Formats: sequence, C-alpha cells, structure tokens
Amino acid sequence: MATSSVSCFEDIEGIGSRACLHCSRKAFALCSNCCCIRGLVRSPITATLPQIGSRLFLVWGILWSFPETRTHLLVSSLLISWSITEIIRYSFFGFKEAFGSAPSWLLWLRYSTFLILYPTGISSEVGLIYIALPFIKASEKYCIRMPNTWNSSFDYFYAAILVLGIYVPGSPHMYKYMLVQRKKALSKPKSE
Amino acid sequence: MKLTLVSRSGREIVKGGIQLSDSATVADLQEAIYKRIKKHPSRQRLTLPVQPGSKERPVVLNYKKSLNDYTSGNSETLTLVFKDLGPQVSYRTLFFFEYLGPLLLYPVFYYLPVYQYFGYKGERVIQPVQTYALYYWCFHYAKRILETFFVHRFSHATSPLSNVFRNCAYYWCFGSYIAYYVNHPLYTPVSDLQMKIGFGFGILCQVSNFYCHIILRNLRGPAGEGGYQIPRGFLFNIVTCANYTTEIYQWLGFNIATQTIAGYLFLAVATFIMTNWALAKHRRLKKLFDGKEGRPRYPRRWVILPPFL
Repeated sequence: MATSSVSCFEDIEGIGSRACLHCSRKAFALCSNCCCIRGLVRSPITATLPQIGSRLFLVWGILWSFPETRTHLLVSSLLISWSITEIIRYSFFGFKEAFGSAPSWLLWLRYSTFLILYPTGISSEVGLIYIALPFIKASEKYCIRMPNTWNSSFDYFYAAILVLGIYVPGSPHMYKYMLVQRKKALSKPKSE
Repeated sequence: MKLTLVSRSGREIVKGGIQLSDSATVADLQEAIYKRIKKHPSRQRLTLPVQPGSKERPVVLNYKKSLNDYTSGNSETLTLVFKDLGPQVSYRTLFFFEYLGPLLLYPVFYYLPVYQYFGYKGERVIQPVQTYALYYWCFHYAKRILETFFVHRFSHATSPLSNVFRNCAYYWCFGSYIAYYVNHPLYTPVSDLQMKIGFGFGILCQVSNFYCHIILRNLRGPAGEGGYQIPRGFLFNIVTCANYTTEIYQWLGFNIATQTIAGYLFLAVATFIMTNWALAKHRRLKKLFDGKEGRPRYPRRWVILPPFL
C-alpha cells in the first residue's frame, strides 16, 4: 500500500494526471479497505468514517466522474497531502505489527505532520468540490428527475453543496480530535 | 437527619449539607436542594454512592420514598451523589412540538403554491390519492397529539431540553421531505387498488395502535408514578411492543398507498429507532419479571416484528 502511494507520488511528476489518477484510485481503494479493517478497530467511527467518506467522494464522485477537474493544481496538493499522511501512518502500523513498537521519530511524524497536512488536504478537497460544481450542474450526472414511479428525485449539485456544508463543522472536529490524540500520544513515556 | 450532597467528582454541592427531619421524603430533599442551588427537582439525579471500582449501576433515589429507606442502620447522616441533568421539559411539551411540525407543515405543501419556488410553474392538478394522503397524515398526527394529552402515562415526567431540538429536527425535516414528494405536481399515483389496500390497512393499524395505547395506559395509575407491568390482551399476548408494531405497519400502509422513496426511508429509520426501544423494553421487562420472589415470570413473546424479532 505504501509503495503504491510512493509510486503514485512519483507519477505526478512523471507521466501525468491520467496515470496518476489510475494508480491513485487503486491505492485509495486499498487504503479504504485497510482503513476499514485496521482504522475502525482502533479509532472511533466519528473520526474514521468522515475520512473514508471524503476520500471515496473525492476520488470517485469528483475526480473520476468529472475529468475536467483532473488537471487542476489542487489535485496535486490533494494527492501529496494524502500520500504523505498514509505513508507515515502505515509505516507506523507496520512497525508496531512487526516489531511491537514504532521509533519515536515516526511517532512524532505521525502526530505532527497533520498540523500542516490536514489544512492542505481539507482545503484541496473543498477546493476541488467547489471547482467541480459548474461541471456537476451542467452535466446532470447522477441526477434523478420527477416524474418517476418511485416519486423521488436526487440532485447531485445540491448534494455536493450539502457535502461542502458538512466540512464547516466537520473540519474543526477532525482537527481537534487529532490535537487531542497528539497530546495523549506525545506525552506518554517512551515505552508506548 | 443531615444530608451531604457531593458531585460525582467528590465536590460538595451544598455547603454544610442539608438538615431534614427523619421522616422526610426524597421529594422533600429535592425541594430543599432547589431552594439552595436553584436547580429544579426534575433536573436533580440523586444516587447512593458506589464503591470505587464497582461495576454496579448506582441506585437512583425515588422521589416518593422516604429517606430512611436509603440509610442502612445509621440514620443520622446520609451522603448522596448529585448529578445535574440539565434543563428539562415535560414529555407532553416535547411531544406536542414534535408532532405539531408535521401536522402544520404537510398541508403547506398541499394547499400553498410552494412548487413554483422549486421551478415548477403553471397549474397544479391535485389527484385524489394526494387528498386522501393529506387526511391520513393529518389524522395520524392529530391522533398523536391528542394521545399525548389524554391517553399516555409516562414513565418519566421530563426529558432533556436538547431532545426538543433533535426530535423536532427529525420529525419536521422528514415531514417536509415526504410532503414535498407526495404533493408534487409531477407525482405519479399507484393503481387505485393499491391505494385502497394501503390506506385501508393503514387505518386498521392506526385503530389497533390506539387500542394498544389504551391498554398501556391502564397498566399505570393516574398519579404519574410510572412503573412497569406485564402488558396483556389483544396483540400484547403475542408481542411485547405491539404499539410499535402497529405504528410501523401503519406507516407501511401509508407508503403502499403513496409510494415515495422519502416515505419508505422514513419508515426504515422509524423502524430502526423503535426496534431499539423495543429491545430495551423487552429486556427490562424480562429482567424485572424474572419469576423469583413471587413476581410473575415474563412470558415468551415476540419483541416487535414477528416473525423476525
């Protein structure tokens, strides 16, 4: 998983956005599965579910569905933020599984890089959803209109705006959670 | 008797404690506390202290009992743990506002020209099923409000104030969501037969639901003391929470007749919520009526939705 993130990272500079997107989709599908098995076991669902949800929404709901967004600068900042976070996180878990504990510099990285990467990652996510909005509205993709036998409708444009709204209370919640985790993790004696 | 009141962290709530006569009740104590710290009795939770590390749930003091019932031997002093439950509203108030929303908001979508603001200009033709749905819906929530004031006897007098916002959001949002689709200018009705079956079944379940509420009411005395009895008669002989069962089937009837995703989604969420309540109630009744010490044993019954649960 970490290697596919790394190769993805190199691809951004190398081949271009198309290959990058392809391998990042694979990386994040795996990542999501790993998150589900490992993350949910250790962390509360209010912290892991938003993260998995936003990842899946961005990769499939925005980037894969609307190719016009893929060339934007924010895609790079998004993938760099996610990749660095995941490489550190899974190295940390890997060390713990293999050797019983992780080196203190890795622990420090895990609980400090988010201070920068959460704002950059979240801003990239929000920015990409925002720039995708005109494409969402024009294409009418995933929209269900009345009339139909089940008397129901779905407007992807307004759903995307609702998602943007969730970021308003959601981002401080996630950041605060990590700050609390940082305090707990970095103040413990070296035995952990 | 001298009563010492501490918070769960050990801090003394009332400096110097409270002095009461030996025959005082818990209610008298709550009044005295109210005079000292200005927190209404309905938000006071008094429990006996538990041993540190003990896994047992603390004993909550009953407001009708005498304080002597809670002292063991030494009746000169008693230490109690106090918790402030926060601002409370009566259950009647809570239910009234929850149900008022759907009762008033649904007709807005039926009678008022709201759809033009959603981009649907032009004449709107109202179909018979939409009119029947309006009557059915409003009858349901009017029934609920009347039951709240004249039928139900609650186990607790009050509920936290925050529940008002949470519950009203649930009912009002879902009510508007369903009303939007059923009264839509582009609404597609189901066959006449399906509509009749849906509403007919629904009305039958609503009447059954009302009868279930009457049976539950008669299990409790009028003084508001709450308490739990084994329900008997009608559907209660087969299922513990027959009132929830009939409520769920009643919504199913509405949805068969009106057929909207919004309505079925509401049914699914309501079923989930009521199933959790039913499991808790079933467990509580089984625990209370364990067949020991002369108490009857709770009979084998479905919890809420035979043959599934």
